[in-house]
Amino acid sequence: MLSNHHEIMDYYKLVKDCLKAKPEAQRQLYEHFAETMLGICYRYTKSMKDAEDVLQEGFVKVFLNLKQYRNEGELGAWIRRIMVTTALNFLKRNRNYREQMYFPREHLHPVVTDDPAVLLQAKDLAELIRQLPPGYQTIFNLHAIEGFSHVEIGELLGITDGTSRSQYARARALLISWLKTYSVDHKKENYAGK
Amino acid sequence: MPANEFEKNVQKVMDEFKLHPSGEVWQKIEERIQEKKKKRRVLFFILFSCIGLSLAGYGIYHFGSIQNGRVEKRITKLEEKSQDTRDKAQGTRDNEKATKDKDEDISNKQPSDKIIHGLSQQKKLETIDQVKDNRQKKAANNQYETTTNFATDDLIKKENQEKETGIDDIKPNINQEGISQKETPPLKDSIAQKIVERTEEKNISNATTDTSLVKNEEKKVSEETALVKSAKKQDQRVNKLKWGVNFSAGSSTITQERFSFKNTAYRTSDNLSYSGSPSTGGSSFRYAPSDNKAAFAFKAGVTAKKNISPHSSLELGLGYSYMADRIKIGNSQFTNQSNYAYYSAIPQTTYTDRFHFIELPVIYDWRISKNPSRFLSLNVGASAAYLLSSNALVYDSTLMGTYSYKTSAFTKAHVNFMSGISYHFITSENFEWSIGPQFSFDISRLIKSDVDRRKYILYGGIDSRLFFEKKKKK
Repeated sequence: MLSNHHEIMDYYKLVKDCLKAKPEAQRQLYEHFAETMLGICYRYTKSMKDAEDVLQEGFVKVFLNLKQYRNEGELGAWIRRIMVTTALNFLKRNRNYREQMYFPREHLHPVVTDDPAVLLQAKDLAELIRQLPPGYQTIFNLHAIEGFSHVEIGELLGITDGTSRSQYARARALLISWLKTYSVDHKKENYAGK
Repeated sequence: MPANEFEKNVQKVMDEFKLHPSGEVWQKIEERIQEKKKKRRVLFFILFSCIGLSLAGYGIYHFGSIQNGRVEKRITKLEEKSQDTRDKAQGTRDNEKATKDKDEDISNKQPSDKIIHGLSQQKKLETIDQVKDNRQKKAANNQYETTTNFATDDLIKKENQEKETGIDDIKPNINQEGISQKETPPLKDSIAQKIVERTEEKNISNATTDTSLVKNEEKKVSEETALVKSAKKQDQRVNKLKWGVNFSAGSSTITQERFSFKNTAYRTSDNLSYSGSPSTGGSSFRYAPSDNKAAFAFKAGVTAKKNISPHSSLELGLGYSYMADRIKIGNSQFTNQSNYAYYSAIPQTTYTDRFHFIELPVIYDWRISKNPSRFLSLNVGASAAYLLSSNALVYDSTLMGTYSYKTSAFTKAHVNFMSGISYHFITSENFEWSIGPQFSFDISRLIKSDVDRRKYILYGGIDSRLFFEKKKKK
C-alpha cells in the first residue's frame, strides 16, 4: 500500500512531533503521504482541482485530529480513511456532484462473470474509473478498491445495500466493457506498431 | 468484500497510483492549521478567563458571606449573654436592696437590746433570744425571697448532709419558710439555727460578690458587644466591593529563560563566518542577532477589590499593557507581496519592538503590617493576556541574518505571574491608594522561532492603585 520509504519511517515520533505542532514534522508527514492520498482523491473527483481541494481538506482534518490516532493501526490506513470520508463529504456538498449522484432502485442489473486481466497502467485505469457516472464511480471506488461491503456503503451514502449492489454491478459491467474495448484497441495498436 | 480476480487486479494497480500535488496545497493547509489554532487559542483564552473570573467571583461571594455569618453569630451570642447578665444583675440589685432593708430593720432594733439591758437576766436573755430569732427568721425569709437559688442549693446540700447524719425535721420548716414566705415557726434546734445563720452570712456575702461580678461581666459584655458591632460596621464598609484604577510604569524586556532578569545576549560565536566576511558578504557569512535592551513599558486598567479576610483581599481586573524591547537592526531590504518586511541584522539603528496586550489579572493581596489605615502588603497573582498586535521583528538566519515582521511568529495567548509589594494609604473612608514595585513574568513563549532566542517577556515597574467606594445615597 505504501512504499518502503514510508514503512521505515518512525511514525510514532513523527506523530508525536506533529502533536507538538512542529511545522517541520507536519511538513514531513504531508510530503510522505500527499502523493498516495492525492491518487485516492483523484479517483473520487472529476478534476485535479477538486482532488486537491479534497486533499487539502483531508490533511487539515488529519492534523487537527491527529491526537485521535493512537498508534494502534497503520497511520497510512488512518489517513486514507479520512481522505475517503472527506471525498464523500465533498461529493455530497458539491452541487455538481450531488445532482449527478442519484441512485435509482434498480433490481435488475447485468451479471458479468468475466474477470478480465487489467493490463492498464494505474493512471489509465484511474482515468477510466473517473469516466464512470459519479454514482457508479463512488460505489466502484468504495467496494472494489477500498474494500467496503455493500452494507457499509449503504450506511455511508444513505442508500440500501441492494441499491449499492445493483449500482456496483452496473459500474463493474461498464468498466469491463471499456477495458475489453481498450484491450482490443491496444492489441490493434500493438499489431499496427509491429 | 470483493473476492473476484478483477477486483483484486484493480486494487493492485490502484495501490500504485500516485499523483504529485501542487505546492499551493501545502501552503493552504499550513494557513488553515494556523487559523484553526488561533481560533482555538482565542476560545481557550475566553474560556479560561471566564472560569477564572467565575471562580474569583465565587470566592469573593463565599468568603464574604462566611465572614458576615460569623460576625452575625458572634453578635447574637453576645447579645444573648448580655441579656442574661442584665437579668442577673437586676435580680442581684433587688437582692441587695432587700438585704439593705433587712439590715436597716435589724439595726433599728439593736437599741432594744440596750433598753432591756437593765432587765432581769432571764428576761434579758429571752428578749435577746427573741430578737435573734426574729432577725434570723427575717433574714431567712428575705434570703429565700431574693436568692432562692443559692439558699436552696446550699440548704438542700445541708439537708442531704443532715439526712446522712439522721436529722430529718429541719427540712419541712425550712422549705415551708422559704417557699410559702409565711412566718417561720421558731427554730428550736441549734443545728438548724446554725444552718440558717451560715446561710444568711453566705447569701449576703454571695449577693455582694455576685453584684460586683455581674457588674463587671455586664460591663465586659457591653464593651465586647460594642467592639463587635463596630467591627461589623467596619467589616460592612471594608467588605464592600471597591472599584479602582491602576497604572504601572516601568520597563520590559524579553528574556531567554523563564523567571530570569537577564536580557537576551548573543555570544560572539553567534556571528558565524565560514569563508566570507561582512564586507564581502556571501552566503557563508551571517550577522548575529542583536542583543536586546529594556524599553519603557506600562500597564493601565480597572480593577475590583474585595476583602476576603481581615488581612487579605482579592483583586480582579481588566487592563491594557504595553510591553517593548529594543534591538539593533540594519536597513530595510525589501517588502514582498506577503507584507514581510525584511531588515538586515547589521547593527545600525535602534528598533523598538512593541507589544500590545489585553489582560485579565487576578491578584491576592496579603497585609503584613497591623495598622489598618497605613499598611504594607505583599501581592501575588496571575493574569491571562492576549496579544492584540505587535510590530516586533523576528530574527532569521537566512540572507546573512535578517529581521522580518511576521504575525504568525508570535504566540497570542499568554499567562503571566506577577508579584510585588505595595504600601497602602487609606486617606478617608472612601479612598484607598497603594503604590509599590511590581514584577511580571510571562511563562508563555512569545516568539515561536528557535533561531530568535528571545522568549519570555519580563516587566518591572512601579504600580499604583486607587480604590474608591461608592457612597450610599441618604
